[in-house]
Amino acid sequence: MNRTLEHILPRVQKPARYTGGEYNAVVKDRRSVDVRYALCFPDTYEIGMSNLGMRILYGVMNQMDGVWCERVFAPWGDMEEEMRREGILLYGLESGDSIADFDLIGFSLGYEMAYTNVLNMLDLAGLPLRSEERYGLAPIVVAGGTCAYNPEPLAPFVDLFVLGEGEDVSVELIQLYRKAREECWSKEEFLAAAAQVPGIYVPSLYQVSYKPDGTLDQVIPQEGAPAVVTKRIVQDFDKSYFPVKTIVPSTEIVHDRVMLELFRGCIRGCRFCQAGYAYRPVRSRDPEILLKQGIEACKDSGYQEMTLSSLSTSDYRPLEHLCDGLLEWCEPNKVSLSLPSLRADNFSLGLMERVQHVRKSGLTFAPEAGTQRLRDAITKPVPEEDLLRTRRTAMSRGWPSVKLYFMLGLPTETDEDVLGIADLAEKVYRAWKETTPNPKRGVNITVSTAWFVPKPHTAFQWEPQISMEEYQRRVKLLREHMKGRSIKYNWHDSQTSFLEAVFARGDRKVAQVIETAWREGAKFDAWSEYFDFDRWQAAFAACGVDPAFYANRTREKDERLPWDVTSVGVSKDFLWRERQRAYQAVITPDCRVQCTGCGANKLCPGGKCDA
Amino acid sequence: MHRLAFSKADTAKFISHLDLMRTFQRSFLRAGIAIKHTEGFNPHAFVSIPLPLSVGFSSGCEVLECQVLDTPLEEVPARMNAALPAGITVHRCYEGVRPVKELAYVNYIVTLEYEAGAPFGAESAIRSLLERPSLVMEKRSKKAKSGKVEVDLIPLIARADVEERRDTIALDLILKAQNPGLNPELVVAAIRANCPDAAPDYTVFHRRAGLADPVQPWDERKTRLPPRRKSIFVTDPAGPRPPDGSCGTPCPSGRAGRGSTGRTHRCTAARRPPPETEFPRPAGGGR
Ligand code: SF4
Ligand code: SF4
Repeated sequence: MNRTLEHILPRVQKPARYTGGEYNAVVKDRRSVDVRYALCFPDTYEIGMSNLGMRILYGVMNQMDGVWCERVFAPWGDMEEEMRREGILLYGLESGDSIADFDLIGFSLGYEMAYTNVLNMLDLAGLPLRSEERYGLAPIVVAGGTCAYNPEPLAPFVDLFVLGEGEDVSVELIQLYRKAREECWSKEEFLAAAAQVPGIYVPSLYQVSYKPDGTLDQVIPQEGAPAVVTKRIVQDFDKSYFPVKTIVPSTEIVHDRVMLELFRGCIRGCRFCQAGYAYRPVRSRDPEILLKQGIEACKDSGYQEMTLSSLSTSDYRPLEHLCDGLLEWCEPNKVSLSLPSLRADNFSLGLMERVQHVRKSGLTFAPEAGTQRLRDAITKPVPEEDLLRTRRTAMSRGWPSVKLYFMLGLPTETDEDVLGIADLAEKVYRAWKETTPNPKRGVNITVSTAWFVPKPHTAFQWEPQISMEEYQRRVKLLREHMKGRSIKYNWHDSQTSFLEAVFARGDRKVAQVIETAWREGAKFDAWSEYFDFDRWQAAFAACGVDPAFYANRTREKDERLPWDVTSVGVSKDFLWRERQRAYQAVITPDCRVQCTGCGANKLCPGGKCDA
Repeated sequence: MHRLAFSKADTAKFISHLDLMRTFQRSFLRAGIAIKHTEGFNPHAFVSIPLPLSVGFSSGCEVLECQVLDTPLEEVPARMNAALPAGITVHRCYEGVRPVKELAYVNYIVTLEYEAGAPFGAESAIRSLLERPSLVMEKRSKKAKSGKVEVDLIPLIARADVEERRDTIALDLILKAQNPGLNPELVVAAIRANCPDAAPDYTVFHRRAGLADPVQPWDERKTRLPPRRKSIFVTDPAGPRPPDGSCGTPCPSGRAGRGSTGRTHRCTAARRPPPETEFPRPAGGGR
């Protein structure tokens, strides 16, 4: 271990997150590798290590001969301060080597509010922020993840974006990089060649011009780069890599357990949901394979908790079969199994009960909207009857608490819909009262509302976010109508959601704002310890950028959107159609009931979805 | 009850006590070694690590207590070492004999580092500080209302050797382990407070041995105290060191020591030659 590091670690909080050395961390011989890859997560260790995608890519790249992929997380403020004072550059956890000397630096972008951390990490690595200021073939700064579907706000800083699932394209990218180095290409030559790899977007190869009203005019690809870059998917999900042998952190992280991925994608097309569209089409993994992977992963890691992680777990067809198999092994081995994200409409209580027989902690439902009309408009088909029935059974069997998640500010929302939320909570309370075996024990009903953020590649990508004042008015309205001591109401902080709305649909002009805010000290914007809205407002003013232009403006149908240069496989026409159906409050059937022709089937072999 | 003697070094120094217990529980599962579980509603593998080590300290003498169910004890170290994170090495697994409450002293090596070399006079300043009849420091306490209590360090220091090297000063300390124990960080804090010129730029803490009394190792027959260095002075755990140079161990006759006048009687226990050592050195770079 580096001596200086050893000196500063006793002075910082939770030093174990900066040391590496965990079980299953991959340590290779520096002399035996020719490509060094820094896999960066722009948030804390605890959050980054809980990310399954990180673990998958780490495994995939370290399986390659001659490639050493290391993890890098954003140091917390106290550590950053010590590092800057002692002149320690951002380093890979496995080797302790400074990542400025690595060949590739890849960022996983899961949340817009981490953008300033990307800049901060580049700076901590001792690298210039802007792509054009980093000459030479090393390091190449790569970014992927859900936020890469609108890469523009980070376009000046990142050399290339990887769209979609990274398992295959990371390998191709590394191979191309090796070739470039052997043949002594320049960085420009390498980027031009990388742009030819399906799924890779090289922002510097696109000339962007704006109209006087600030909207995009033209985006002209250079050097043969494709006009639209389509995301990559793993076609055979049974054969794709799963990290059976995975790092077991020596300190507690957020999701400290085995995560089994049942399938990718989601058959539902909730109109607000970026994941629902962006991960299409659905690809499932065989239950026998999952069973094997789950058991092996538990044995190898010593974890005593396993969770089934997918977008909408209860849509996995052989779920019962899989759970039976897992429980058969889990119970005698004292491993607890948990099922997150079950839906209320096909919620199988028996299954839940068998699975969580140890702890009856609480049930979570996400009806998202207060009235059936609005739920139809967003295609969240959770009939109230179903909802209440499952709730009633659940409560009569002694689940002590219920959490309900909603969004405020969905397109077409009226005050009636807002009050519907209070109404629903009230109904749940009454359902509990009618059925509970022991009314004295009381019940906890928690209602949480988030402020709706319109996201790219969704049916609501043209929609404005309601204004902050309006959001606050609706929160107040709801608060006034939320009665009863058993019902607790939480609402999401409005300022971060507003910025999220700006970055999610921002263009390249937003990049300057992010850089300015970072220079003024913005980092860890997802953390209230660091978030400072005034700093952001000052940055917008300094750059002459109006945030409302991005957050609160209704886009025209024919407007060129900044993220039109990327495609998730779902056509813009389809999304527009979905938007119109939202206004008519017409539900669109899920992929299993009927294919509605979104276009994502073209990503599948043979052009057919297997929902 | 079985005991695993292990060392903690390098990156593993920064694993906290609670995290370390969790790490061991998982490592037993990874190694396929069944250990006894607690009873009750939420049974979990029972492990216990007496005398929690502060985060950032290395140690060559940690002990974990558990009940190995059906693995031959001699197989345990190798299997555990394959399952543990870097920096933690199990040296032995054995049937524990002496109870934890008899673990009365801990030997620490505290290295004070000076970037510009050890300041002139620092060694003797520290030496005379630790030779004072009493040295009272404030310590954080959860129990006290003010959040602080005053402790006199001297009765809790059984032995202190001070040795100057080129740019470090090494303290070889034997401190009371429990009821109450003394964390060597407080000794360093006392140096900072009382001899500011001798304040180190950085301090390295290493726990070398757990002892039953200032010269007797605790529990393990094979473990012996390392040979003494020069400049030994011995302090009575129950009070200031008597001028006659007696040993400072609690008196077996009960005439001196705890509850009495605070003076030790004459005894030669401390002058026994140090036994042969076969002591686990801290593992250097882990695996
Ligand atoms: S069920 Fe709806 S909200 Fe959930 S992942 Fe699928 S599309 Fe998104
Ligand atoms: S092509 Fe049809 S089945 Fe496939 S994801 Fe789109 S709507 Fe669903």
